[in-house]
Amino acid sequence: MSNVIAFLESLGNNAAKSKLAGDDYVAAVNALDLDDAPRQALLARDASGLNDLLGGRSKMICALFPADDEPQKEDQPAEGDTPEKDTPTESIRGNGLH
Amino acid sequence: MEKPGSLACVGIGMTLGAHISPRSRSHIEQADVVFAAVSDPLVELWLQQMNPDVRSLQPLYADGKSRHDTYREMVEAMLAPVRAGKTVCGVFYGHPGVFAQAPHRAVEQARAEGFEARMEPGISAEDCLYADLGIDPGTFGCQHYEASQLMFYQRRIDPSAYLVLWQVAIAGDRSFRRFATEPAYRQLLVELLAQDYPLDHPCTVYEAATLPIQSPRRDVIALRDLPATDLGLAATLVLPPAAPLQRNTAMLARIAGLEASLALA
Repeated sequence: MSNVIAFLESLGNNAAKSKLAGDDYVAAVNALDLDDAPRQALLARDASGLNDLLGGRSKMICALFPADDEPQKEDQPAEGDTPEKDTPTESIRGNGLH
Repeated sequence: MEKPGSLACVGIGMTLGAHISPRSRSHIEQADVVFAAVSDPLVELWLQQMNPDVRSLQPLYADGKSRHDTYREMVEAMLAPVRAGKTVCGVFYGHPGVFAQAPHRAVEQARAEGFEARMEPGISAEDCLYADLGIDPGTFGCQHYEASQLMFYQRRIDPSAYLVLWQVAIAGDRSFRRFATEPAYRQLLVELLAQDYPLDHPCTVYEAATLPIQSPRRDVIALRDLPATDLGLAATLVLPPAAPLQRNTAMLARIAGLEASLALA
């Protein structure tokens, strides 16, 4: 496992390795001390297959931002709520400086 | 005296091995506890090799569960060991402060409670987009919106600048409990965009590569085809300008007048 991850890391952080293609890529993979299954997955650039072999998580969620602060329950304005009350009269600082 | 806890929220970049900064890596390696919200399971495995105590934040997501709750729980998960005196590192894909609520809130809360907290920037999907699509945001200007937010609020789109829409796969979701919306929601988005863009406007569906054995997604589609396009959560929609830049002749005249008056002074 660590050989595969280390190889991927080297492809990511090494300019020459990041450009490996064709026979050069095959030679680099074949030079690794790997079982046949991960070797074949690397040769096929099969990320899903590699993940299965290495025991990675089957599902990843990539969503870290909500479009709104809270869910909109309904569209009716609250009692006493008027458009004028929503009109800003001062500069909005926003969420800067955390 | 026990050491005070601290928090660092760091970006790990988009592509395994390629984008992590030396300081972010150092935060990860030196932390007592690492929490991870990354974009690829192999990236999570890579992270586990940097620190013996890496805890994934992925289990906090669940089908039908509000992401508001998920993000609150992420903040609490990171702050609990900080309060216990631990050096905590939150690792987020891309940049921890770009389209990412929990890192900002965690840093803010930690500081409010008197703890040292910082954010280390990372290479975001936006950064990768400029490189992979050959776009310079300075050329025509560039607007970025979360896709649902663009739908929920009255915004003024400038079609002479680039428009980049994030989280377009969940466009229109008001429940915050889904990880995809139906094509009909994206059809509403198309109708909104059609007020400023022709339906055959070429748009790029972009996804940054998360592994160095992958290539980024760069699918060009017509705007009208967006509802039928297969989109994952990582997909971003890029609309190039549909109108030329218009010179502000009134302002240019005022600048010329100013220059003339300064030359006389």
